[in-house]
Amino acid sequence: MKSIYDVTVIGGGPAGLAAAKGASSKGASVLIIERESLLGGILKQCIHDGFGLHRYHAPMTGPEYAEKEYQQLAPFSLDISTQTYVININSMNDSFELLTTSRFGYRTIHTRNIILATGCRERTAKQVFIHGSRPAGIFTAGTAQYYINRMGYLPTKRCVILGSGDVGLIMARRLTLEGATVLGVFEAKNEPSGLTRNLHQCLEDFDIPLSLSTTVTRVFGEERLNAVEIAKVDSSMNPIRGTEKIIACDGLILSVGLIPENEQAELINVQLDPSTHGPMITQDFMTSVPGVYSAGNALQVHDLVDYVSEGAECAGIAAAQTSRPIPMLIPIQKGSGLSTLVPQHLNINLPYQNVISYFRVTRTYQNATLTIYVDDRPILSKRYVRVRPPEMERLVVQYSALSEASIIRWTLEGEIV
Amino acid sequence: MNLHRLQTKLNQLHPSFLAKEVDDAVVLTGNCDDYSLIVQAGKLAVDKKRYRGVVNNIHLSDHPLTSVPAPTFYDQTLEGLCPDVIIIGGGIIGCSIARELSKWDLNVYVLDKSSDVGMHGSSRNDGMIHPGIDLTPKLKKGIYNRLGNELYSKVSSELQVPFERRGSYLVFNKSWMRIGMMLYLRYKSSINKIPMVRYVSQRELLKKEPEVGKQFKGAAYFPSTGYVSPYLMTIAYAENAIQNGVTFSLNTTVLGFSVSNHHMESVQTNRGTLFPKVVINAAGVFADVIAEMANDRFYTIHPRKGTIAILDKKSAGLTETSIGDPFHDPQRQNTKGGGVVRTVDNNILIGPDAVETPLREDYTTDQQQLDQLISKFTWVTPNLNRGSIITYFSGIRAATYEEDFIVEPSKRIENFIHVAGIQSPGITAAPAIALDVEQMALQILGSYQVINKNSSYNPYRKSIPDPRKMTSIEREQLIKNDPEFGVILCRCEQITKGEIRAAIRSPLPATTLDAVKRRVRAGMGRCQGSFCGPLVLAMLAEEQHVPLNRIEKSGKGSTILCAPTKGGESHEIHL
Repeated sequence: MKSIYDVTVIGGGPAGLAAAKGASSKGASVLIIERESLLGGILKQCIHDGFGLHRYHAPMTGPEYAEKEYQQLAPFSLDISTQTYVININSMNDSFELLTTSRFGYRTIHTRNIILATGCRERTAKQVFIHGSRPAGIFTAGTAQYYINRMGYLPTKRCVILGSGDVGLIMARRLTLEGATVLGVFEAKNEPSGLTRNLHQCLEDFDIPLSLSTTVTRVFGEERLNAVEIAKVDSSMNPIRGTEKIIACDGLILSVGLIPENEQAELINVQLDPSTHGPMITQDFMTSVPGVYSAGNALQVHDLVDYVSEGAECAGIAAAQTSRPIPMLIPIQKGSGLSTLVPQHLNINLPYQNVISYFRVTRTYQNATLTIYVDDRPILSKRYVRVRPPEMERLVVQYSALSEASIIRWTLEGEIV
Repeated sequence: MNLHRLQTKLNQLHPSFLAKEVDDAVVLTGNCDDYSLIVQAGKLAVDKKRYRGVVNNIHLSDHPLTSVPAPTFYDQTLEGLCPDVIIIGGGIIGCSIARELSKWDLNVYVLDKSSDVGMHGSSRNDGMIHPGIDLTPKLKKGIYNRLGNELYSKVSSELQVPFERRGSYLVFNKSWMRIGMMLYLRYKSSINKIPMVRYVSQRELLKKEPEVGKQFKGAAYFPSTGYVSPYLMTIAYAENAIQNGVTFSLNTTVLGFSVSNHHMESVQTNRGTLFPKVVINAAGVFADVIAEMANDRFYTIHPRKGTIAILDKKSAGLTETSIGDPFHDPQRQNTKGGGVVRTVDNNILIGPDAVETPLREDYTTDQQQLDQLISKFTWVTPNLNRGSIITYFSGIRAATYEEDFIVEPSKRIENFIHVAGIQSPGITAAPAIALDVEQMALQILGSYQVINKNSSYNPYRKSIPDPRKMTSIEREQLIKNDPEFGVILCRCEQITKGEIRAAIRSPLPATTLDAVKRRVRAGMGRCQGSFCGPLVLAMLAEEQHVPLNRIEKSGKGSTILCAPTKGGESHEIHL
């Protein structure tokens, strides 16, 4: 333990590991604080493959990817504090004081910079307004995955999955492989929420039906779930009377959205973006609070861990800089067609020649054109054959000759599918 | 009204409805497929001067008779026991009576059909310790509420249960309401002998409660309103009773009684027959069913459901206290109107509403009810955001048609005591009711034996340490003594492994996920147990030395996991 760290990373999942690597590679003294007893975050329970295609050009499982990321830390001497939880953060003059609890006590840690890599949580049944009784047998997909892959127990034998997010699709396949019957995946939206490859590999390959514009409205069962009611929904997602159907089952798995966890960020009044639910950042991943950076699913929910690692490593490198120019921020305006856009600001006192940017679209488009304007002058235009809301797009943008009066605007236009 | 006039009115409701007088009670019979008519008939029949109560036996067509749910197993654990006192029901009433009786050298048994105490009405309410302004001293409710409210400071400190007397507001949106309302409320304060209500101007109200709607012109402030966790209070009463020698038999359903010569000889349960000296009926929504079993029924419980929603702690700024607008009740229901309430755990709670239901334990929720709650209380605090709702649930009030508590010895059975119809404000009234019932039981027992004091009685209960309320030095010391108090397991509520372990090993051990939740709040936060659920489950299995798929969420049959996966169970569970 050091008396003060250059960089403290909160969270030892993929974002935290890559951030720690980034900061260490620039010579910073680094501490990783992890809540669980093992590093790796949610990757530990993601035993399916498909991780690392971009970063390592090889498919691997979640635990393998985590191991690979952990190995990257080998050349560096950094501190790791597991089973440790950050209770509070106090901003000092040019540093921070973290109050932590662990089996070793209630300790204060001093750090010059913080990287928030706290991940995300799942939306629950009550948060999507499912009614009826309160039996056992209702699980968020991640919790079901934990039970199966980390504890070795099947939480249901015959289930319905609500939501076509990636975790839900992967769980449909996982449950089927374990001998459970997945009666169907129901999605309230009129298009699937998961990656196209998961729709093929997890549902179609296993003959699991997907019903769009359909939701679960009610659950039944006193002690253990014994049935759910499903119903068609109208364009404003309200259940349509008369379309209700009862399905007998002993499990309901929910994959209805992920929410970035930013309770620690809120402790120090980091400004959040209502569209991503994560902090607003500049191109160096710094939040509205100088010295506080954000990465991974706490910043925004990613589909690919490779992008998590890439961004977090940049955040780590930035956090390790010893001198920081006075920020001069200009907003990047999110025009039509885009639902999220990160970073939200450019700091023009930092380099802006290669800005890694991520966006999602509001709906599915084909033959779409993304245009970036600086002062109404297009500086970049990119064609997309097809773009879908579940698939986060990454783009490296070369801006040039910006001033504090520059107006940057991104728009996307295309045929609505 | 006399029987003849009542009959005429009943006939207007439904031709099959019939009223007669049996043993000082009015008994209604008939058959009808509209439950609201049955409730109306029951209300019509109330005449406290003429009758002890209304026994509403009107049958709801095509509706299964609601009796106590059948037990799922039978054994002989309790067979042949001869306790001094049996208390039927482990809600706050049963548990508080048990605790008061534990002052005496008596053999007391509390029987409850559920897997834990406080699983029904006692955990499904807003946790407010009411001032009792809406009551009158003519009602048992009024008397017990006043005494109970006064006792709360003492009892909660003895039992180490967090209790905060923060007061509450009733707001009004028309200036002219001020004079009439305040006169009325001052009159009610004075007859109920409760601390004087105070007028609060709009300016002061907005200063104290900045989130309240700007349309409100003023408010009445009730200084004696308090806030408590009602399930923790119930558990604390039970634990203190256990420390002082009371036995709790859970998963125990009363199946019948044998009564001869006005004396209750025995109580039959799924776990054997007991031969008690005194039996106390504190069976909540089933109190009239229990009374009927003893052939001593003179009242009816007509279940009244209330729905409550809980908001994320991030919304705690909506109120410091509780704010209600009694005039804004679009559904016109039989409740004090509910409110926007800051709970003792700093969540915002909205509700409850009130809906009559024929089902005694129908804890389902509906979107319609929830939408009504949201719209009703958005009027009170306009920044209430439906996206901040983390959970919702419902509870059933054990209402009698007389809308008053029944706390009295049976007139037919010399060793049977009714403590029935305890709906709101039952949590407030419990400490006072318990003291009265203690005396009633002692009086009956006194005719058999000399009752000595329990020489080792200790009124103080030690709560599970709460690191969040400690100074850093205390917290450091706690972790030094037991490192598990340093490890956070429930990240949303920051509950440590040590607290969960303590709940599982407490005097009334938590055996299910929900029981842990009621004791230490693990799983009550915004992720609703998605993260800590598996970890708590693993700890329960470890402590009980059973496989993971034996652990239940709540009651018998609510197991969470089905079977090991193909690869077999993992033997290494990391936190």
